[in-house]
Amino acid sequence: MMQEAAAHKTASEAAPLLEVRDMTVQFFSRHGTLTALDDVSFAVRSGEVLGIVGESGAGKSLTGASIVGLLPGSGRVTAGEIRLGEQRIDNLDRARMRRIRGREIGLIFQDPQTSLNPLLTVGKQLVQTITSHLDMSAAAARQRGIELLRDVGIPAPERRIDSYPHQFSGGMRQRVVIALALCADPRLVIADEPTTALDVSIQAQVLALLQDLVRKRGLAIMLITHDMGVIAEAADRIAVMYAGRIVEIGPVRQVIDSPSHPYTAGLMSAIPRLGDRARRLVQIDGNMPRLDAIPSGCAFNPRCPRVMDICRVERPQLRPTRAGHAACHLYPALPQAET
Amino acid sequence: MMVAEAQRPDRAASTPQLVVKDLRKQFDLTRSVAGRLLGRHQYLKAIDGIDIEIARGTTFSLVGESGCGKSTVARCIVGIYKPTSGQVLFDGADIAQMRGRKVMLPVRRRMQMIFQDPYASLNPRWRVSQIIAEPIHTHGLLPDRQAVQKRVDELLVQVGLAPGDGRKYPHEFSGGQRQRISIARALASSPDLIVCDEPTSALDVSVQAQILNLLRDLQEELGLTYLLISHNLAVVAHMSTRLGVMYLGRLVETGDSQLLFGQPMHPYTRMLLSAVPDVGGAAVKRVAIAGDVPNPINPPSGCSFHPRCPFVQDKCRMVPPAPSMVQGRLVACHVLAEHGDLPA
Repeated sequence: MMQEAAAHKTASEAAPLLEVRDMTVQFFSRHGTLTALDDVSFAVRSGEVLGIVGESGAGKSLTGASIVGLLPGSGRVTAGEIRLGEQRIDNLDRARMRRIRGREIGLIFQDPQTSLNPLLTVGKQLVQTITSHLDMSAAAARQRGIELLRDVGIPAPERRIDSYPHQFSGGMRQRVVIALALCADPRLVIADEPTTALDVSIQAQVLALLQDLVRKRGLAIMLITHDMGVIAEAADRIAVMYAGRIVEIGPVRQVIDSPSHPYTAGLMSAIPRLGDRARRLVQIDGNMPRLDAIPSGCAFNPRCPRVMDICRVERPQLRPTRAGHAACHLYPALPQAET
Repeated sequence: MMVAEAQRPDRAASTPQLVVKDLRKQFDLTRSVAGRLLGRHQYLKAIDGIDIEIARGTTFSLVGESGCGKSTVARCIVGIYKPTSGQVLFDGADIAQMRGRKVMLPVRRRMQMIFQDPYASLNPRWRVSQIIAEPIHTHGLLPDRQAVQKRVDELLVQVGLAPGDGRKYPHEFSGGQRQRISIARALASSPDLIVCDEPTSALDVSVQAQILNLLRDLQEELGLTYLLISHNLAVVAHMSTRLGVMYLGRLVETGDSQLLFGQPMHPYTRMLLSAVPDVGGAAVKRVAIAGDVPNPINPPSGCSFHPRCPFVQDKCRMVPPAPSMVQGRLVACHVLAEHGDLPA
């Protein structure tokens, strides 16, 4: 392990900030075990936005939740490892995980209304969060809170800091949530559908703000969303998930413009685009399988237009394609490509 | 083909399917009884003078951000809300002022609605065949049970389900299939106009594609007219013949959909379109976006967009702009009305 860490340092400055390797998440109940995430591997570097996309039930939110130890119910990470920098974080106890959450990893959720306490002023919430993570006096924390509100583009932060959440508009409230996520200067922010509840003009402002933070602070962002437009706009690389697995990962334009995996290809041509009314949308018939009925072999095989015999039997691993990786038997393992 | 037809100016030959004239709807927000008694009313003008014309067999879409009044327009048209004033001419007859179930019933048969949430809009205790047959019974369209059953089976097949699905309950279906059931129910009374309020907003993209394709196929097959309400501009671009952009209860720009998407004129339309994250990369020139939609209870004076408008002039702060024809579409903007274009 020491050796590995050393190798990472010498490799280059491109050593990932977050590395998830072969992560499997399972849920246990009387009726049996459900595998919700299966062998998920990816990395996020500082100064990068990694988009995680997929349709409902693909496991994208669960991926975010498992990294910060917030799996619901009986869910547990049963295999693989998660590293933040040099530190392994998937086996920490709850107290230590809580320190990582907030201090090292900031969280932004979909609905700003529910991520803020309606009974406390924004200032109180900022000060509480700051002092619980950083060694700071209340006065200094308040000052820092004002700076943060200014950073996320809230006008007149000296006055607004004493407002209650309901006194902000939806877009401003989401800015407050972002300020809260940044309280302890985290290195990674996990944003789960951060703009889904917002109108488009506000959404564009929030996305611009997130990108700005990446550039200015060298932040790494994991952007989880179902909205391919948002990803196209804001992400550097994207990981496409289907039925609990990553089916394709690569540079954003590459994956969107010339997708390798048939599921990604179908998804991309199912999206209506501005300015082409004539085209009939490609449909992927059927639905994503339920967790208790994931087909053998490639989970996409019953819906795949290019299905082969092997797809029904053998589960494809992520293998290199032109610019990224895809888990599909159309891309046979190359002899030199071994990770 | 439909696009070409709608662009032809000489459609006056046939009456449009739907004409909305100066439609207004205000909600009384006065809280106290005393306030009501003393006549100190506070009103929310949800829609404030809307004019729409929809030709047969075409799709007219209303777009705008939350709170702009687009759903209120839809609800006034189908009669869920009673408009405060204005006309809704369906096939030439004013239905806004019609009262009474007997008078309304024949109109309702020809006008149906599809809602956003297919989970909330289907009765969970009814079998699917019962749900779809309800409009047939309400309007007494078919004489006997066998005929109704046959029609229900037909409708199920038409929306891409199997006749056997009629025996199931809504919870046995996925979101997309439930939306198909809603569509089958809407088709049951053989309507001319279907109002689709965010029909795919609750669905995943691959399922959204299925529903959008189905709606377009049905339009071609049955000659349906759609009024589509959506906040998803890519969906709107894909579906619409004509387009109306709403801001705080008023239409700021109305015209051919391709024209508006290709070359938006009103400053708000420009801002809205440039804010859309598009998978195809930015097709529209980026415009700086600032500010929020103001509170509709206390809208800005003059043109309600003026506090956010980069081209604002003194006149805009005082006089609400009337719609005028600029470069082939209707726009409500003083600057455009005067100069024919926005300053570069």
